[in-house]
Amino acid sequence: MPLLEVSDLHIAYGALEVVKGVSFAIEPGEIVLMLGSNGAGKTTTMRSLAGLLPPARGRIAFAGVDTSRSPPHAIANLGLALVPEGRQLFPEHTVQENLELGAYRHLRRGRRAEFARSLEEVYELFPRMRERLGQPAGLLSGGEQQMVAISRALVSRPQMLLIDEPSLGLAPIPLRSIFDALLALKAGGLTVLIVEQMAWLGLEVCDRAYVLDNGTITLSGSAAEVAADPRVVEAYLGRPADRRRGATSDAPKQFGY
Amino acid sequence: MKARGWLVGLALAALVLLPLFVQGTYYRFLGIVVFIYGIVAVGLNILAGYAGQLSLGHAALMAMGAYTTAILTKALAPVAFFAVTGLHIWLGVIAGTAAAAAFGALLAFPALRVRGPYLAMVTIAFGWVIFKVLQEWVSVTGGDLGLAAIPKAQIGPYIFDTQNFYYVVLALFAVALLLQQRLVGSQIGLAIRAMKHSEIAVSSVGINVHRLKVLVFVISAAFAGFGGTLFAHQQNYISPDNFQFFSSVFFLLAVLFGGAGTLLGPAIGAAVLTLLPEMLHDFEKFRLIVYGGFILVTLYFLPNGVMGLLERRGAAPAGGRSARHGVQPDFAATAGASLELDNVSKNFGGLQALRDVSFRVAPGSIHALIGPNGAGKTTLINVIAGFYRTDGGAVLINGQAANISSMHDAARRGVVRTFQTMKLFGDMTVLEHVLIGLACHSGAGFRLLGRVRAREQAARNLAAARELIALVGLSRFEQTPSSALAYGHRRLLEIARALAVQPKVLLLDEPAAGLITEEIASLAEIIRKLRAAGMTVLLIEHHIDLVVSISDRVTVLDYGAVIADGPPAAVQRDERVIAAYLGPAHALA
Repeated sequence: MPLLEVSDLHIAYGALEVVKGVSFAIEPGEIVLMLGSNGAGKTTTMRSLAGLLPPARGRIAFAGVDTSRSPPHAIANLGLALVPEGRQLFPEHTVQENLELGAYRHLRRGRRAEFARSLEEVYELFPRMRERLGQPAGLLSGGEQQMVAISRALVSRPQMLLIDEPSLGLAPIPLRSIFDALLALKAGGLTVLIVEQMAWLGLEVCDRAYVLDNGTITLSGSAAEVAADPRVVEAYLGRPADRRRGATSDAPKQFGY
Repeated sequence: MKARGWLVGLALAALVLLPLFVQGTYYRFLGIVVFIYGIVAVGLNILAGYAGQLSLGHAALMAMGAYTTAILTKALAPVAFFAVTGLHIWLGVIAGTAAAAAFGALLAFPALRVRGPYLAMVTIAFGWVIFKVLQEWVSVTGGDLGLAAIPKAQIGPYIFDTQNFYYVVLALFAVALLLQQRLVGSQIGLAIRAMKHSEIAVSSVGINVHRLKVLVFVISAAFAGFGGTLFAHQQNYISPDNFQFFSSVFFLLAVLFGGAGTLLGPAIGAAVLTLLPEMLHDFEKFRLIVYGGFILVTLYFLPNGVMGLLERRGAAPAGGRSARHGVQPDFAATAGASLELDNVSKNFGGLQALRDVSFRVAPGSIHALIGPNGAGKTTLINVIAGFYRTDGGAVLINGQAANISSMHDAARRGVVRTFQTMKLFGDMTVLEHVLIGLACHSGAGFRLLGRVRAREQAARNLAAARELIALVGLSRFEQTPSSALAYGHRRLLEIARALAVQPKVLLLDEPAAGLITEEIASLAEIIRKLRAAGMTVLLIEHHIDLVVSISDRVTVLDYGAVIADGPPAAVQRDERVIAAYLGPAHALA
């Protein structure tokens, strides 16, 4: 049974329909990428899945529960955690406090041991979190802030993560560490839906991908199929020769722009 | 909009005819009170609704108007000339309005430092001080007893009683609404509305926010003072009790109830909140409870006020995909300036954010500034654009020490920036954002009345704004509020707004964040066009492919210091740059 099942989802801002009948399903343990140009409706879909924007029509079922009308906290308590676009940390609070807020639903019930265990897992994924614990989140570098945002979602011990644009504003090296962390999470069996503009990075970590265009899904398939589609190459990847997968190529590159 | 114009006309006609159908002066008296309160509320709406500056001291400003005209006209009334002409009344009205405006300017000063609830506190204190002065300065204000026998309004031998004054105040109220509409629709009105969302962004397009704020307070206070003078001549008797703290609350409530930041909101709010208690006489001692309950329930269901509900934005964002590979108009020729940094340093407490940064950006070139997150790139832009002062070293433009004193100063001298953490104007449309950018050079800023030249200027601005919006590919979103744009489109809007200021040096802070490959290709095309037109571009960006393909030169910052500077290919080979920033993936072998 799919962990997340979306059928005929329509989402509108006032009179304007942004998402126009989107259906997809995500099985446990899958990492799924959603591609699309600006304004295609990706972030809108994410917000709706997280309960921040009730859909106009359609059904969202998470872990067998209809969540299309559920408030955000109920969805989070079911184990669907959002890592929002632009990170949205509590900048004046320390990293530890940010993480404690992420684990609120456990700490509220006094499950400190569970939180401690989650922290250990976070340190394993992002060793730097350990030394940053006492610092205000707003003072961290962009890459570290993204690590906190992902960690904050992870310590809620979710069944599934929604990650919106993790690459935003990151320099190449921290960008690499974030995507390495996603690969590690994938190896650990976490289910993830990710929106990412840097398509080659997203395609590197995902099992399957959907392309959203003007509010509808226009292409879907395995990562390899989507990466080979000429439309995706044209709009998202640039010429194949321009792209490398983490390795140093020996010839000077040609650039797509 | 047109339908609303008709409705307003009908309402005015009804108000003109109404007195013919009702007996006695009671309803006319109520009407006058509504109109006067409406005028004060219009003033507060400009300040709180449009400019976002909360005031709970407007009753005190109204008092300034009322007391000034009362004292003046009482002193002048015995003079035969005035008794015959009635000129003293109108002198008093002008003096009272001016006095309130002057105090408005005074009240603006705390607003330059504090905002939100703190500003509200300051205005409460202001109101309290004025109230106390009115109570205690007995020789001038009459103390608690107030001033009686204030002359009635008069033109020549004709003295207005309640019957006729109704029409005068109605006309003045209509004029107040018209002035508000003119103001809000003008260039300066755009800037005022933008200030509510981001003062920093307003100054980044070359508008002096301090001056703008003082101006808004003065205008708002003038409305309040004007209302106060009419109040004095209507009542013929005023005392401090008329201008208590609760009156200030009443005006703010009227604005919120009617719909803050809407043209008709203050009129509706003032009317409902004035008339409602009169209609509730049947409830006797429960009257105020019913009144309060009604307001509570209304605001709960209409958080944006009555007009907020009616004016709910009809302008839906355009659907469809972004313009890909559309034809971009060319950018007008620009005289790009050179930008030089000479040993620039900046410290925050113990943290040295910039250490002796020196490099030169050639005029008409694309120069990239790269480096790890937190290396000081944005700090450097903040220094160049006048947001921070340097702690050492100098910024030179065309070889001259720039000595930029503020962000609006920088913008006026052609150094314009975009923001990494985007600063857009919330619910204002894409078109409005770019029009604000044009305000700096169009000179239409402070012209309130629709003169022919101003109208021509507005038409030119509109054409220029449309062209810039087309350049960044947002034409389909002209009427879309910026808050409804996708992330990457907001970045493009930031660029269009900056271009409207006609930069000689354009500072772009991560313009490609959130764009897909195809969109980055169009962005690259735009930036190349700017260079072709002669503009100097300093680009902070993490999309290395973009940096390498369009930059003439690249400077690399790490821990606030320059670690490399040279052509892109050389920088890509630099071992320190690879270790600190690029990583192996982007290294050029």
